[in-house]
Amino acid sequence: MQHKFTKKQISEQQAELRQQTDSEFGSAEDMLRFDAGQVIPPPSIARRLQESLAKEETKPWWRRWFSSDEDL
Amino acid sequence: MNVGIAMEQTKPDRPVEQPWLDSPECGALYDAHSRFVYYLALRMLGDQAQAEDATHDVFLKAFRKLRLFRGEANVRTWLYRITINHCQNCLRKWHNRNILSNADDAVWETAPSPEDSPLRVLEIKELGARIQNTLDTLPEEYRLMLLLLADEQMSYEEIATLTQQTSDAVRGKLHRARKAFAAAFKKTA
Repeated sequence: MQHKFTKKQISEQQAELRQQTDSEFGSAEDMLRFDAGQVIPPPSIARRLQESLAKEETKPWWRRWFSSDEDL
Repeated sequence: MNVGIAMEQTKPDRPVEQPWLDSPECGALYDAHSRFVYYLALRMLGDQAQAEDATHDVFLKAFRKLRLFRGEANVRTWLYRITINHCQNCLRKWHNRNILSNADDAVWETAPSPEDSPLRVLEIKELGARIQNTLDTLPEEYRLMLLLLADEQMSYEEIATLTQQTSDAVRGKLHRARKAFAAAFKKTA
């Protein structure tokens, strides 16, 4: 019973938060800007990048120069 | 004489000779723009692991060609161009393989700060999931425009360049994109 009551409370809080969120932001871009501010790239990306760059160093310059340009 | 000078100027820069790891340019580029590239990739792809891969690949490509870019006006726009192309390629491959799944809501969530209260954590995580769900219902063009507009450094002209249309067209479509986003977001409540 206590567990159910707690779940109900959580549900009510969530509904309240949803209403707050809907009125908190003036526009879609405001909301996305807030969202973007909460997102931090995981440090693992920088570490992997360091490893990839170290591997690149061992390749001859012409292989680096001509590799993977399809998105540029 | 002039021809010789012009040819020298248009010749591509020589490949990077010094170790890239020691290049302050690469570190500065990553520090200044990685959040924006990662966020765009995360919300375009809707998948945290794919966004990490995309961010890694985008910066690796950018570092390879950084010398070529020197002197250009807006590095962020250049990085976004690489990110958009990369993510669109990823999405195309996913759709072709028919493995696009929205079963795991956890990967859409925005990561809250460790200092946030439990209630705040709940709010931020839920907001991140709702935003991702909303963006997923929009046409790709609307989604991309809204995500680019969310970066305060981006002008309508730059968004127009990146999405290959006029500024007036971008303004008109953004108006419709905002309305579509608001309507879809309400449905996620």
